[in-house]
Amino acid sequence: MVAAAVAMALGLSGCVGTSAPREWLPSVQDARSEAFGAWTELNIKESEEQKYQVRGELIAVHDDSIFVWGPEGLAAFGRDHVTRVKLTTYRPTHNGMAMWTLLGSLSTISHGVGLAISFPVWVIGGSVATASVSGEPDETCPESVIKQSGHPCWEKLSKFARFPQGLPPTLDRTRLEGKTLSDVAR
Amino acid sequence: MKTKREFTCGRASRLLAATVILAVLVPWGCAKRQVRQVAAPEKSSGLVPSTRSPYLKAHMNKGNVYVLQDWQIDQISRSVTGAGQLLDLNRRLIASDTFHFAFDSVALFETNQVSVSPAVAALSVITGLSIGGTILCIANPKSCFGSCPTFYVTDGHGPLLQAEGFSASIAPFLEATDIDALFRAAPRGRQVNITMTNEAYETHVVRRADLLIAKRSPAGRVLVDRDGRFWRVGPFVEPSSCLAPEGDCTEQVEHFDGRERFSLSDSTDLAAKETLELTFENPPDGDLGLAIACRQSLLSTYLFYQTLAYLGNQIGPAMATLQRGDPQMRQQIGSIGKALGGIDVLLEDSAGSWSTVATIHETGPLATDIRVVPLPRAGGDSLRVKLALNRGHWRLDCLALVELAGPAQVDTVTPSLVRSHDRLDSAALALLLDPDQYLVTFPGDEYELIYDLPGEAAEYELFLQSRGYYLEWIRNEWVAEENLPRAAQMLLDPAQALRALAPEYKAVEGELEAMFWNSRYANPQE
Repeated sequence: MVAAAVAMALGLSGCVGTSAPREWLPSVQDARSEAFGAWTELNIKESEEQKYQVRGELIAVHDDSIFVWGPEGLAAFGRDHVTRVKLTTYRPTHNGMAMWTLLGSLSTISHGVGLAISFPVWVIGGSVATASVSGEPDETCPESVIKQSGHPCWEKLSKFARFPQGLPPTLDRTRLEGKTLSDVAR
Repeated sequence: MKTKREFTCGRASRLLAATVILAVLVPWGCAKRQVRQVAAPEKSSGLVPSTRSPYLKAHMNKGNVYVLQDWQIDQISRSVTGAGQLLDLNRRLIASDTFHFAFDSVALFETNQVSVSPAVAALSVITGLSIGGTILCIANPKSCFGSCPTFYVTDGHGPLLQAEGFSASIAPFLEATDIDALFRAAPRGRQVNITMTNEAYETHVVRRADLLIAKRSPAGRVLVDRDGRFWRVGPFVEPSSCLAPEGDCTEQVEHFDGRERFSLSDSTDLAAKETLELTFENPPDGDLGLAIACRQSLLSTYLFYQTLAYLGNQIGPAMATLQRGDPQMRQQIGSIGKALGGIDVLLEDSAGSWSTVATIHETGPLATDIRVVPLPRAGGDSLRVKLALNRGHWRLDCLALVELAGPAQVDTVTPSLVRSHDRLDSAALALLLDPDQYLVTFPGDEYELIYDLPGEAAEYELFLQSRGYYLEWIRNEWVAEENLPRAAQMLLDPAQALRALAPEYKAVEGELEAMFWNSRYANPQE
């Protein structure tokens, strides 16, 4: 049982699927005062032959475009070419939940044969709760609406851009810099 | 100086306490979530500072951003005041100060509220229930363990606990054969599947698990009496009245339906008796029997575990002495059970005096078994029967009069297949078929026993004949209660022990049943 609980906790602690460098993401407390954009993962399909993924900081969302600071600097992508979008807005907080689930599962050893009920309840309930918490930093648009230009889903995503109001009209794009790990330290 | 046992128990308790405390405290430092709110200046009236959202970000038209604390939005003067930082396009610091600026240059305001994740509430509920279970089990560990081999058979809707095997056989020398009526079994076809489980901290040693089958008529049933004789019986006649100390109990006992009549034990003497009086108007003319469907309450289970607890670390030597065949001790181990007694069936004769006809003993609190007590001919327009039984010791599901149509022919059917973990288990089958071998099971084990009948299952009355014994696993919590004088009292002076234990049992009696069923794999009462 201990082995099962530990294996489950380890599995849960690693269950989040974000490609963001852990240090890059702010904690949920720091995200209140940080002014950078969210970590963004875009799947782009320009044609059947040209499909690729983009990762980086969300700079702005316009009616027809999405701006991301990626490895090659600022890049704009047509929204009608986006097949999947996922933002990670802060560092997931599910490790505590996984530990909670582990300790709770182990504590069922005190339930005698009742652990036959309470252990699965902890495993299932804890897994669902941990999965739920691990997904809370994520913002996304369902594939069914991603092509709809006026859909409020895009407006929701734009809140997590560095410039939620859109790119400033006076912005000199050559002066723009992406968020770096030194920004995190600062 | 602490003994090894005290040290072990203390360490276990501290570990458990630490686990519980950690389980409670861990979530409060984590599992937070953020809710972001963005509003244009003209729609910013709803933005107010709070402890959960102390920061205001003012995104300016030119791309700069103010990150302010102690902020205030003035809708009348259309301005913002706050202390904090002004950051440039690349979020580098331009200035730290107290700022005051007008709405005109603001594109959007942003606040972020951090709160505890809703999932924490869900897991808190589980934690609360789990801690409750832990506390209950620590307070009364004897309620969280125990049973004996349990047998599940479909009642036509799903698996139903219908039998518990050799409940009184707690040591090798007490190995016994037990016959349980599978009265509510309703398998289809020519095959019967019985699931045998080990649901407790026990080692079950099963020598045999056979099916006894008897042809039955469409309107009748077959019942077994206390001497192991099988009777063909007619339709059940429910009592015209059932009077118990608390009042009318007819509704609880007229059908075999899971509704039970039971009472609470006496607060000063666990051996106190009570009497129920049954009246059957216009009984059938032939030979009659009283069908009794019942099971024990948890009183006997509690007393059994209490005896083990009082024996503490001496349980091993005591059991070894018993096993070696000390006749005096063997006699004494059943003394508590004898003091509690069975269900005495008394019949009123024509002179109006009552005499005991038989005594029913059905061991086990899990599965309700049904037996028939043949009654001597009494005659008359009504038949009056009394049941004398220990208070708080019996749960009566059905009390009905039946006409005895004669002895029934019974055949034995051995399992033809055994399945475990969804695979055929020929080794287990071989053990169950060999009278010199045992199938040994451990907590969590489950075997599906498959029997081939000579005809359709609906044509037969089914009984389970099991033989074996089981060994209780002694828990640290029990050993902590070691008290040899009280153990001796349990064995040598059970009447006094039942008086002495009455207050302790009464303190937990109300919750014992719920705790016991909640602590098990399955609840057959559902």
